[in-house]
Amino acid sequence: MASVQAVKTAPGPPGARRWLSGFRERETWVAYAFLFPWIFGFLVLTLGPMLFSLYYSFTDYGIQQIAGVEQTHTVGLENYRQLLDDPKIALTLKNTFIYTVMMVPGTIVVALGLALLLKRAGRFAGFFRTIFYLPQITPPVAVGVLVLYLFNGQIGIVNKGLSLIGIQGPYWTADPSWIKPTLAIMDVWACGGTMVILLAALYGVPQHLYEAAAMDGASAWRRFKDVTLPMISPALFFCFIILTIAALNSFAQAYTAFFGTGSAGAGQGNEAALFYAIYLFQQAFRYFDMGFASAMAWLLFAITMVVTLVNVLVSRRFVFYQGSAR
Amino acid sequence: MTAGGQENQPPAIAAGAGPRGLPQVLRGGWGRMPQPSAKDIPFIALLLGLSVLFIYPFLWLISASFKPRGQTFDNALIPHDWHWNYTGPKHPSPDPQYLFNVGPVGDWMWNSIWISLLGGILVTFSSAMVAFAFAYFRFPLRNLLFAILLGTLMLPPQVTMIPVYLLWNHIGKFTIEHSWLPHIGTGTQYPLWVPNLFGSAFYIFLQRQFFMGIPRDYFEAARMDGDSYWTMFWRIAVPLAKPALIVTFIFEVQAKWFDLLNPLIYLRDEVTFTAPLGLKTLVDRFNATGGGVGDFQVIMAGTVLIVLPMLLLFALFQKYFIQGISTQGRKG
Amino acid sequence: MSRHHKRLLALLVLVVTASAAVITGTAVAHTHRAAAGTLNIYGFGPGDDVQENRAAYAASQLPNTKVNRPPGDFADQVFLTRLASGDVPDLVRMDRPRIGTYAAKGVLQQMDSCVPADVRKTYRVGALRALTYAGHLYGVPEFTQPVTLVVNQSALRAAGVPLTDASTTDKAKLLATTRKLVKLSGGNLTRIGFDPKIDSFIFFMLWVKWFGNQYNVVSADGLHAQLNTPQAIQALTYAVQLINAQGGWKKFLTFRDTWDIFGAGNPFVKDQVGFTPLESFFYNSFSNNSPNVDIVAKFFTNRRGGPISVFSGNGWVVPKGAKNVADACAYMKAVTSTQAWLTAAKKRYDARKFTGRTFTGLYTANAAADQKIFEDIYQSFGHPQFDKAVQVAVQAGRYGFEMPVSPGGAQLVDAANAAIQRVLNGQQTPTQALNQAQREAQAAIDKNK
Repeated sequence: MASVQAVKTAPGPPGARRWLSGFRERETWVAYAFLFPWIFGFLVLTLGPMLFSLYYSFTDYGIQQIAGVEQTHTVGLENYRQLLDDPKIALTLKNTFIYTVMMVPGTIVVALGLALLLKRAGRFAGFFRTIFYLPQITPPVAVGVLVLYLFNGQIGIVNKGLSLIGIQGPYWTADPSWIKPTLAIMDVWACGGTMVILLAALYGVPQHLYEAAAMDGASAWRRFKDVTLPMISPALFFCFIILTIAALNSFAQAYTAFFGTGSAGAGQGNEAALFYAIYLFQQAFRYFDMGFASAMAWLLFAITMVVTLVNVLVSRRFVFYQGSAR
Repeated sequence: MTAGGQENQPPAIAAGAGPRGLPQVLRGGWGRMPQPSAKDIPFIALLLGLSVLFIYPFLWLISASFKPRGQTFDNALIPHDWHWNYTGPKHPSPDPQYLFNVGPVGDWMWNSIWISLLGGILVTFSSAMVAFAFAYFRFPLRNLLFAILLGTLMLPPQVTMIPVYLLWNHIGKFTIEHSWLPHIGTGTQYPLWVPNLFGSAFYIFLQRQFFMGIPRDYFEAARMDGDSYWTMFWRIAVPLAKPALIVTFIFEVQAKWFDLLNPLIYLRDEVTFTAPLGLKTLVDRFNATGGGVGDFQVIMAGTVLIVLPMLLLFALFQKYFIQGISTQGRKG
Repeated sequence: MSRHHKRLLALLVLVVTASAAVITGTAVAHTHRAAAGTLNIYGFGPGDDVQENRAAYAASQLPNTKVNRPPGDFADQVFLTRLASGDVPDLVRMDRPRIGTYAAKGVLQQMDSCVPADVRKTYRVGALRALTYAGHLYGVPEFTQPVTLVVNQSALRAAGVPLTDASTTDKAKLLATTRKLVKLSGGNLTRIGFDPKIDSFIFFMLWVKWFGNQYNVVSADGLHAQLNTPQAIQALTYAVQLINAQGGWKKFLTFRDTWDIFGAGNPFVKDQVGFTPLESFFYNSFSNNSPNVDIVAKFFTNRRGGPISVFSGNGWVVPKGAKNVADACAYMKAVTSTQAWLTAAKKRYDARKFTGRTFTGLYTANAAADQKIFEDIYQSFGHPQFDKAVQVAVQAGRYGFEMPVSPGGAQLVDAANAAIQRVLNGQQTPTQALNQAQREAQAAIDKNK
């Protein structure tokens, strides 16, 4: 990690003895006093819980244990085996991946398109940037409500609009094959943050590169492909990772629109919108199966790590770091 | 997270540099609409067309919230009959309901407001302390601790969610058994803001960049004058890093205002709910699939109510929203 | 504003919000502290007039007890987190299918001694059975709503369908009648011919029963799920056929989601449905919101033409760890007593009469109360369709059944609902879906028993 190396530029005395002697200095203790909130928080709210979570994932910890009716039993790999047995795990993983694959590229493509338009817009950019950014500040619960009513297949305005141009829209919120696209569309709508990041990256491309390319007679498309894309690839890569992690953890929109405590049999919601994070929440807090839910959390952690690692490896090939030796 | 290679460069909004280094569009502010020239017109038309797509859901929502029961989904931009759905006399259902009568909506809004503000303030200052330590001091284990800090950014919240919940549960049991203690634990609002006392990795990382942009001479001069480390932090670092602190504050206010999962896990009594959880409760109660009571106009009014404060925050702090976001990509 | 003032202001905001946090937090917290003479109820928040008047009656029977009824309906998650944190409510109201699950998990108290034989006999036998697990009674039942058919007579007239055809007796004929009554315009549904309501669990139970008189979704001892019996598969297949005859599930659901069923513009007023089975409380809503609506009430009939019905209902239980069991016991008996129901019914009747309407009785697990309300309080208000509805609903109570208590009751309901959704969405065949639900439900029963 580059930034850790950057920190290393601070002159540090070599050798264990001199390292230890650092603890005798007053500055060290002051530094740790400043760090105390985070160190305490890390131990109590992150590291400790991680260890407990790992332990719980090998036990049958649940409502009986929490209420003190029964003892906790270790169950070996039972919870991890259940990850394989439970058909809903495969279903929720599939749902989450399908959604991620639609939402991440969709958001990046639309955000990049808007950013390019804004860059060209010059004097007018500020006004339109404000407009395009507005969906980003809409709370996810509100987005979930909008999903339900804008996209209703019969009375929703989306299908009314589509019918104006002669398209019979699908039953977005009732058809299981359209539920994930609907949620992804609402995320693309809220692409303002990604757009601003990419816009900043576009402004960071040195003008002289374009001038040089124009002198070589490069077409607009070639300038985009050979100058813009490589130069903004770090920002694209950053957005890609951030959006992927967000998609894997997606909860609030889908939960608001398709799940809840409604009494009319809607309790467990629509399986087409059952994302991994929602199922984990249900296992932990609807059924209080904490052992299984902990195992689910560690599977999610592993998936996040693998996906990020793959992203980083792929980025080595495609991401161009200005002024870096990589 | 650290794909860049330029971490040592302070972002453009770091102390002293000010927003001048950024193009106008990234500096924020509402932006003015200048007189378009003839060749701009098709281009402006395209942007305006796109703007309609981005704005229309808001207009639809506001319009729907002012329609009487039964007309909520007629999709008319201007309501045929205007109807105030927020407050009114209390009649039992089946009469059309008013938002503030169907639940403790005032409590929900107030809870969200104070939890967001308090959480924002706490995390800003706790993160600033830690960020300052990482930026200014040299001490053993610094690199290791900073690497751990960056590592926690990768951790899905679900991994710690359950044990942290159980921790609060234990605290709650303890405070119930010892009745001289105030009741802290699950079912109270403490779990929503107390973690903000301990800083947050993302904000620490963001602020450290700003603190590193402050010339070391400032601090050396202060030390010559015999100032304490706290004075250096409070009187020099914090004022100079004000833009970063404001960014932290508004990001956290937004995060708290958006949060559904934590209130859902920790809160049980309707009066303690935050606005998103309150709205979710109303959706469950009045939605067709959740019992079918059909007072959709109440859901619409409630949605407007939780969107508006964010619009207000954005209007006031747009500059910081845009700058905060646009620097993220650079540091990444 | 000077810098100094700004800082002072910021500090002030901090102090004010922090103290607000502490005050709000502790104020809320203290309402939950168990104290002698306090009864904390969960799942019985402020409700309609009947609920409030019964609550008032029950409270008047416990004059020295402070009764807390925080708003909000029962939710498993909230209930479990309260048990877990030691903030245990003294008394809880929940749907009856969940009670078996919680009783089996050992988080409820046995209430045998609280409900002596003479009190027991006021409740309907079937409802009490749904609260009895492994030989012990866990509480008292509240509502018991029978399901009957509601027919939109003007739709029938417009489509030229005789009233006798609005019947569930004949499989083929029901399908044909449905096709006659359904109305489509421009690709969208504007009237559902017949809604089997298969996506709601109790109606699924009704259809299973309809296909084979002996069958229920779980065995009488509650230990064997019977979700994939031939009768269940046939019932689901047939119900889906009914929906597919009306444009398919997506269209059907999308249209039905726009109904305002509790409003003055309910689907019978707006001609959005031909006929459908509904719980009896809907008559109360219709008679109040649309007294002139042209409906006819009929029995839901089995395939030999005999009436059948299914009950939905809830009950009162006391969790382990409750601090005030004595008051909980007294309160749950009081709130479901004949006198409580009569008081509430009389008040509602008076209020409705004042506006020229009526109320159509209460359908409870207290058979004596139902009888008295029907005989002593209910009066015709000159709208014969509701007189007929009340007669049918009262009699339907004799032909109803409900789900036997099961240690996996809640999960069984969840598994069946999910299976039905998968079939309606075209993701699985009825056989596949119900086989899966059977496995899930049986696993839950085995785990909990």
